[in-house]
Amino acid sequence: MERPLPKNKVLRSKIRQRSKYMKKKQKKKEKEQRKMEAEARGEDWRKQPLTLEDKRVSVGDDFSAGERLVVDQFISDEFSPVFSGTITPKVVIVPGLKATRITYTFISELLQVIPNSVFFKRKQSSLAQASASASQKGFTDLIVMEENRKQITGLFHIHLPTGPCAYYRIRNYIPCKNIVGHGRSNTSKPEVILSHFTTALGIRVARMLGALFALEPEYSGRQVVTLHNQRDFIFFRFHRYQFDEQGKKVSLQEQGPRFTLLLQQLIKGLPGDDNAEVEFRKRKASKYEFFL
Amino acid sequence: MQSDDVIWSIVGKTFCSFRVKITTGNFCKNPYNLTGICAQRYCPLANSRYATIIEKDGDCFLYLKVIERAHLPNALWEKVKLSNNYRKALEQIDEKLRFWPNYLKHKAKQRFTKIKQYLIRKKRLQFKLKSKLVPVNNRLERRERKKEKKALSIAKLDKRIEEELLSRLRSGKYQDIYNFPLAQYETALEQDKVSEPETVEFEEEYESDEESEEESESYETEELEHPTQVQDIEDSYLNGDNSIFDDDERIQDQVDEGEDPKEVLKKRWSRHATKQKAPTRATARKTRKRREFEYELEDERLTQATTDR
Repeated sequence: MERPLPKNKVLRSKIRQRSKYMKKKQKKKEKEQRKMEAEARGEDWRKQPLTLEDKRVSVGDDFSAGERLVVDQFISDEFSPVFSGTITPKVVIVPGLKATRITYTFISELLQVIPNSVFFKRKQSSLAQASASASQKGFTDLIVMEENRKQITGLFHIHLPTGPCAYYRIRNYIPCKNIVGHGRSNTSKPEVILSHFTTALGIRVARMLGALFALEPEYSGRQVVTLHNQRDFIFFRFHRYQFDEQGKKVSLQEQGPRFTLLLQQLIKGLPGDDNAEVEFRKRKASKYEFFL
Repeated sequence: MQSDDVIWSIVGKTFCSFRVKITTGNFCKNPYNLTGICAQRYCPLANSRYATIIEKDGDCFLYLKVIERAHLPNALWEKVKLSNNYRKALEQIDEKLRFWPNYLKHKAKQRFTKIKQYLIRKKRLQFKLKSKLVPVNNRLERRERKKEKKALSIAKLDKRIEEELLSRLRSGKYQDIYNFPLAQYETALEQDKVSEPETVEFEEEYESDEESEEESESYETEELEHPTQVQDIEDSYLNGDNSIFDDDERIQDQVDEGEDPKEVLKKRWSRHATKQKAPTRATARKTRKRREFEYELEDERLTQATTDR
């Protein structure tokens, strides 16, 4: 049982100051001890600074990315035929309803990045209609742009044969020509790096995005597409790489557009479906919760 | 008894709660007003004989004022449902307002037409594609921008990409494409530095190289990297060093002719080493010797020249 603090402010403040001082002293002692011990062992005594990743609270099922490959044959979902090679991805890219020049710039850049992709006009069709007609024509993926006030704001990615429909918000889109020292891409199929997707939902999203590229990559072209997830932001980069003479270092030259994707919702059915199961909808999460 | 003039002298000239004054004129907010203008003709309060068209849930009604019921305001207006057919509805209006003043008939028909037009537009809009307008929460936007910046700085993208690519290289994904000097070759080089005679050295190098080549089945040309300007990546890829590719064909031709492949490769390797690669110790010594010889000659010439004088 602690003694209650005195009502006298001066006395109270003195007590508090003293307790603070003692704590500080204790901490310093512990630190020195730690330092000595660590140096005796030969290690670095400094603690690693904690980041949000360390303090992360798991949202659903979590597992480290190393344990489960994205291109896993044993995951059977809508994308497994694409990854196993039975279906080759064919992508349609379609502008939004009110498309201005910036949409078309973005689309033209995406057409260069994604192999086997085609541009189709929108023609006032709703998402449901567009996805129906695209699946009829034999496409595997439909990408619809969204734009607001001359800026790209969103992207619908619909995997076509009854696949899931993902809506991302796009931030910080930098077109090719605004990147300093950018290179021009060639027509060879790029490799894909999908990194740091940790949860089950993250793996699913990674597979969905990877299914756009899942053709046999042409390594001689030396192009690589990176989709890296950090704290629920998926960063897209498109580089050309070159190994040095000994094969010990890589040099990268950025080629394509640069943007970040924020998953807003993932619905299990096609967009016209009202009864489709909503797999993920972005909700208010605490600072330490990450979904992907 | 209702006296219209008296009502108008009060409502129109002093105060009316339905009147709205605007710079261009007076308007009437009374829901039963036919035109919306505050004037004696169109005032629903100051006219015992009055009619309007009112729309409810897509149906148009002709409201007729029955002045006998002035003491029961709830039942004051007689409602006639107009047909959905535009023409028929106009005929209905004509019939009901047959002996009424023309201006009322005319205005009623005009109002009905306007209502009908907006109803059609409304139906059309339902089929037209509209994007849902979502409000932007500025606070959230600001927060997300900050978060993204932080996430980007933590991601260290370039480093990660480089690491991933190098690990892929080491795991052997690019086996057929790159022909980097393998460990055996490097150790062979180390040995060479110790032993002396050139020709023997040369053969040793060649042998170890042959081993490494035998491992990769196809004889791929090396990518000649000059790790200087990244801007030139495109050029080096496009233009390449075409002489190498020519060499390949020549080798194949020679082998087809029946020459010993070993000899062919040896010749090729010698050219390769001296021309493009950084000179190995053996070849460097060779070239160095030659240079020295030339220098001596020059010296002689110089001395001769001087002595001649």
